[in-house]
Amino acid sequence: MAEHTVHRSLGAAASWQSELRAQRLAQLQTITQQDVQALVDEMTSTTHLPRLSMHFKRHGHEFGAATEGAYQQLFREHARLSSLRRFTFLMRADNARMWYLIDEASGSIAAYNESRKRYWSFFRATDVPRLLGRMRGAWVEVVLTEAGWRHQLW
Amino acid sequence: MVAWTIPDLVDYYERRVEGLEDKAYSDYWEDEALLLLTARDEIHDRWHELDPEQRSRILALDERLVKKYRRIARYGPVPNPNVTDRARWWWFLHKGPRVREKALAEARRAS
Repeated sequence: MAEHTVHRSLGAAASWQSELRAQRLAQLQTITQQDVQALVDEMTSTTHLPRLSMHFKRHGHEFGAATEGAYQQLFREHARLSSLRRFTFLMRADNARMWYLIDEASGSIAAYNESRKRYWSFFRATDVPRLLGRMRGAWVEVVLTEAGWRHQLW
Repeated sequence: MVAWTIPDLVDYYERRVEGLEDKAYSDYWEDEALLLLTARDEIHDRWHELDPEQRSRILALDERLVKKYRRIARYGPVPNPNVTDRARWWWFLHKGPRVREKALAEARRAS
């Protein structure tokens, strides 16, 4: 990826977040309940974390995983948790449609790249409430209600 | 969620800085930057729990982070309207590397 010097003004603070969130919201409004369910099913049933060695090297330690296999097993178990909170947003670098599947109890987060149709990474946050607080205004949360999947601004 | 131990938190921050330095990991710099900045917040809040050696490690890692200010500006969630405390200079690296010096100078004046 090309790297550029970027000096964004504070006046631009709200704009990148609200702009990307508005774009993501518009995308979500064009897809059906069935599309969302299919996506969630895909995220739940996946058993493989691409680039496993690379992610294990970078993040295995924070899970206390001694081997790549143990790390991948934790990833699989995480992906199937019923308690996950689902946030979606656009990446700033390439506008990829991303999902963070967050387990608040452990701080574990599986990142899914919808644009590439594959899991992206698996890591832990040191403080999920703080992380979510920092991303207020930038993300959309997708929640399953009795009436089906609903998206709400975060 | 159980709070991280200080040694684990310091290790975690080191790994995030390394991740941000690793060009082979560039696809994940947006994730790394978010994790790094929030972890640095926690270190800031728990600074009184760090021993001198751990503080030295953090200061050395901070220097490495400052060198990557362009990367934070490009890939980090900055500017961030949810952070207004300039003592948390890592959230203001999009303004350039001197934000750290200024924050440290301000802290010295206040103490």
